[in-house]
Amino acid sequence: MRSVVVPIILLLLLTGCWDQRLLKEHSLILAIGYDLTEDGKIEKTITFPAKSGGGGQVSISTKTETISVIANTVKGAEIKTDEYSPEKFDRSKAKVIIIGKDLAEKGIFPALDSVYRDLRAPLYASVAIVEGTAKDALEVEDTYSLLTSDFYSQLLTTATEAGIIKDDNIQEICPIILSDGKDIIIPRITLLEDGKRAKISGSILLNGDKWNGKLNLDENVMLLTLMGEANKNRKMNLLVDPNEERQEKRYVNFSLRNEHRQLTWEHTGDNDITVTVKVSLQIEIDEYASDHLYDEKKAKQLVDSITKQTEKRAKKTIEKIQEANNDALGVGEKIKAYDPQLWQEINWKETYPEIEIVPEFDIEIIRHGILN
Amino acid sequence: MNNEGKTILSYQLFFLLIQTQIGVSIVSLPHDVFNTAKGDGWISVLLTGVVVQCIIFMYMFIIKRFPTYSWKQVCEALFGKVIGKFIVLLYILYFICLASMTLAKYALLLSAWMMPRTPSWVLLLLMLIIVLYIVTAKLEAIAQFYVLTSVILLVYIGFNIYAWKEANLTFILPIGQSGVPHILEGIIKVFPSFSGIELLLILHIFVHAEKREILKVATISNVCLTIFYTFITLTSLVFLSPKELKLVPEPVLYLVKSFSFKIIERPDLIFTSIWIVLVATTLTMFIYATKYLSLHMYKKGKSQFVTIFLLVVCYIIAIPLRKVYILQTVSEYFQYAIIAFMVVLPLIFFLITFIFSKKEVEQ
Amino acid sequence: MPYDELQETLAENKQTLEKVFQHTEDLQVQMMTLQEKKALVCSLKTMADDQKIVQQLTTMEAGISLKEMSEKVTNIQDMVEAILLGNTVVLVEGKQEGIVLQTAQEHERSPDEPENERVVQGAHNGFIENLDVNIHLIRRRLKQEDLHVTYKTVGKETENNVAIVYLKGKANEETIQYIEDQLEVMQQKKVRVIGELVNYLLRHVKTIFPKKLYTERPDRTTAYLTEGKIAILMDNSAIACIVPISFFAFFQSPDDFNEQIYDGTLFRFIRLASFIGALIFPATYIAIITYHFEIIPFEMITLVKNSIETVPFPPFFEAFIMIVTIELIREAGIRLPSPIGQTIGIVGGIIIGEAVVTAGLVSNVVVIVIALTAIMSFTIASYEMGNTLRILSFPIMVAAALFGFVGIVASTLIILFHLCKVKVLNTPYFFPLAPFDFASIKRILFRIHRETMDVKKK
Repeated sequence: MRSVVVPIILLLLLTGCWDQRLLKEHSLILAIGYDLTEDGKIEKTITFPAKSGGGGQVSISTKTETISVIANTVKGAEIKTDEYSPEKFDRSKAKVIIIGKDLAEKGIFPALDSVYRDLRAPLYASVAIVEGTAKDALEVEDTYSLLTSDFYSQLLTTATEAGIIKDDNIQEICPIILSDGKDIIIPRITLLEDGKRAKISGSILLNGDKWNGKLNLDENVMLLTLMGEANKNRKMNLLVDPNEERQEKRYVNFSLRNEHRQLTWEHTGDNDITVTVKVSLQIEIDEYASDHLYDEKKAKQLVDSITKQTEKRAKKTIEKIQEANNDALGVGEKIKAYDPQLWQEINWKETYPEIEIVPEFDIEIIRHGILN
Repeated sequence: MNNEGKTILSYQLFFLLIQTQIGVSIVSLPHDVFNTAKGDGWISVLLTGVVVQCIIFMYMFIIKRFPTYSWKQVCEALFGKVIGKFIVLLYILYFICLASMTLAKYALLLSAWMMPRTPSWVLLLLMLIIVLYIVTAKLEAIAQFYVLTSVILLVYIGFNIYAWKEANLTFILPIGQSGVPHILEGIIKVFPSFSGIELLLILHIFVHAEKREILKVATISNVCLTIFYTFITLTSLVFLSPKELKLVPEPVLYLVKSFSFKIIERPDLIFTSIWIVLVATTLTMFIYATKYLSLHMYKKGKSQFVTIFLLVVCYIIAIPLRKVYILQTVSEYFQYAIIAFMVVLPLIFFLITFIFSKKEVEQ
Repeated sequence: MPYDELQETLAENKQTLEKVFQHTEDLQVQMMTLQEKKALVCSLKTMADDQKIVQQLTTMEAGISLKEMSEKVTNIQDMVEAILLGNTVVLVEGKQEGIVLQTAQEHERSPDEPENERVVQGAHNGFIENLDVNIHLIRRRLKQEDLHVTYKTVGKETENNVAIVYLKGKANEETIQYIEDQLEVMQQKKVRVIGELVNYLLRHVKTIFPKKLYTERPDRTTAYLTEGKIAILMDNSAIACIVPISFFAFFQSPDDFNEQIYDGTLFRFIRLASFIGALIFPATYIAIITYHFEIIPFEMITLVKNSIETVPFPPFFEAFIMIVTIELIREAGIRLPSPIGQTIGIVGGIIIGEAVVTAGLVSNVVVIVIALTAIMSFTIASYEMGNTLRILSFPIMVAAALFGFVGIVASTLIILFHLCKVKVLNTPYFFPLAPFDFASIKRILFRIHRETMDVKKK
């Protein structure tokens, strides 16, 4: 027995390790950007940390370097990047994937194919679409002395925590892009001051996997509320008293403490579908310069006007997403699951922009800070 | 071989069966069943459990008629010496093929998921070394070992429960969308995942328990296994969208790959590594059955040499099978072989036993 | 000549004796008159206790019957043996026999607490090199008539007394019979230390794990005796050897029982966890750095990457070098007197550790990993288990260097199966886990003690 096993083990030892992937010999890609060039090729931009002093001492470099290459496909570009570096690039720890506008308009899924296929892919990297090119976004100058990748990933995480965008990672967007009755929204980044700084400016509405419209931050917050993405940090700012003299007194600012969404639909006539999105919100007033909230009547008035304003904004948002043929609310999904007959009858992609979606809000003030 | 006696206890039989049945195909089960039964795949799995339960009753009928006969003796009692021996030989071949298929699939999956550059013959060798070490021991030790390794199933359940926070129930609704024919067709796809229950026919003589107790244990293990499989399938079905599930051949691993924790950012690496334990336990039992049957049939030969010979045979068969498309085609055909040996042949046994009311002859 | 009978004349006997002892100068042969008879008192100065000789001779002189306190020798051979044991032989003129007086010197240390099995609280005495004292220490704790002691003599030249101690009724009869049979065989073999004896007893058990538990503590020994284990003690050895033993016994300490259930269990689990940790920690490091670095978080990976950037060796050798260094320091320190031992520790730990990192030969991370591993391996109460641990961690490291995590899983799988397979004297080695026994797990792992459980049942 032993005489068989021992030679085999020795044999294995002698033949060496095939899958060896020494950390030492790899340069870690921190962020990846994909663009489409004018002649239809893929331009891939990667950032990686600049080499620091070394020696035994630990020092973390805060500088990054960027390389851009153009090739026919994403994987082709990846092979080319290796020509530029003494170390092999490894993308498994990338934190952010940024997609340029041109590519997003043509469809992002083919570009991501290699990521889904790769066993070491950074599936939990955040995704963002930039208005402009991803290359410019990754070469942004002012990153608050963070690594470019950290800058973007923290930007997205913080914004998600604040409830103004939804930061889906690569893995999370895949089932939504591939599902029939739901579409995805992806955070939008805008470059300012000639590409010196970057900021989050809302989101991109994808139809399938193609850019088909955009929302600004206010609308995006509204959309997230309509989607039922509950977040206790989400805030809204609404114009409630347009007649007040002072600018500050015209507005109310509140936080959403509790959100509940209900989606119902009615099928009347041939292709007449009316969808009602009923959202009940419990809010806490953060800023309301007119005060007088001790008076219940006054408070009721305020609630009424808040409801009116939110519904107005919601309608505008819904208009926009229907225009973009983006079913971020997942209406199709619900109909498919609970009314399969109706689903069979209609072609959802064609029907969706036509249907009527009515937002209904039920708002309740539960607190108003420590002031009345 | 026969003198090992009744060394395993009934609770050990439970783990022995479960660990043998949960094997290489656990990671791809949701995909396989989805291809035919779509979002209703989990119903197919449940139904398969019911079918397998009937098979267990059938097995138990045969076992009750021949409580102390070994499998070879049963075959000979029912079909005569020559044909009986031939059937045992068929079973030996069947288990060898089963082991080879398992090996090939293991090598393929491990290459795809963790070690793309390691030649798969090395991965096969690694597995065979583990199996060789385990299978040469006594069944008692193997059974004890299986009880311990079952902890791994808890890891599987844990990860799958975790996945439910991202669940989207609309993926499987409406229930029954794919229609009865597809759901029934799905049963055939699930069957290979239940293979291993036929070992009950061979192992029952080692169990230190009443036959009634064995039936109870087999039933409990089948119920647990069915629930486990249904749960795993259901999780993948609600986690991955239908179109995505079509693209992902190993949804269970894919699902874990998309998780990320603070310290362990890629739990799937650990998950895939411990999956080889399940493969090893399954393989070991197949090889053990083959070894037992062949030693029993020829009465000669040293157990260790037979084991090594069998492993080499499996290795040689597995080598050409370890390519994606070849394996797909072969397993397409092989699932009928599994049905033949799990259902059809025992059914013939059952009918003969029942109609001619055959019984064990007291010696 | 040695089997010659004793002669009647003292002078002749004296001459023979001196010849047998090669005229060694510590042989005392004195002529004196005892009860008005001429007598020759023979003893070895270095082995016999002068005071005892004087005392016993006085009694003899007084004419008190000596039958109870002495035996007779009739030939030279017996006489020489008696003298060699430290006894005194009195030859009386005209008689062809000698009277043996029990005068052996006894130099014994007191039963102090053993160095390597200290406890924080509890009993502080330990076994010494005297078999009778050791059994006395056991009996004092275990006042039961069931406590059974069997003596055997083993060893061809050394003739050591061996005692098999067990509780009749609790210990397995077959095992006792087996041990007794084997000890019969041992009479013809050379036995210098108790280890040789036990290794021979357990020669059929093929395992790298310690098969027997040595302890120098009487309280620990009695605890095992009550569990039905058998203790083997040998004269001139200050240890009791407990067989058959199971894996988890090596993680228990008498301290656990003194404390409450909660901390006792916690510490026991810390020991078990450090065993597993020390086993796979270096291998995990190798696997991660060589194969799966994507598993660790990004912030950590940059730290690690920076520190290994200049290391010239592959991770396996890097870890290997550090482990060997630590083993060297340990091995060097263990035999040295403690002041020098401390110096070795300082030289090894601080100077080598620091210099090797600054030179860039190994990385900071590997030093941390290996140091942690070493500390984990020292938490295990048993020295033998610690050795096993160190030996076993090498194959796992090799497997990790070859196959990454898959290698670690494969090798631990084999080790686990080995544990399930091994039986020591027909007792499963991995007991409460294989075969699985929930009640014993509660008792052995969670330290829910049998007594408390009995109380609950009532």
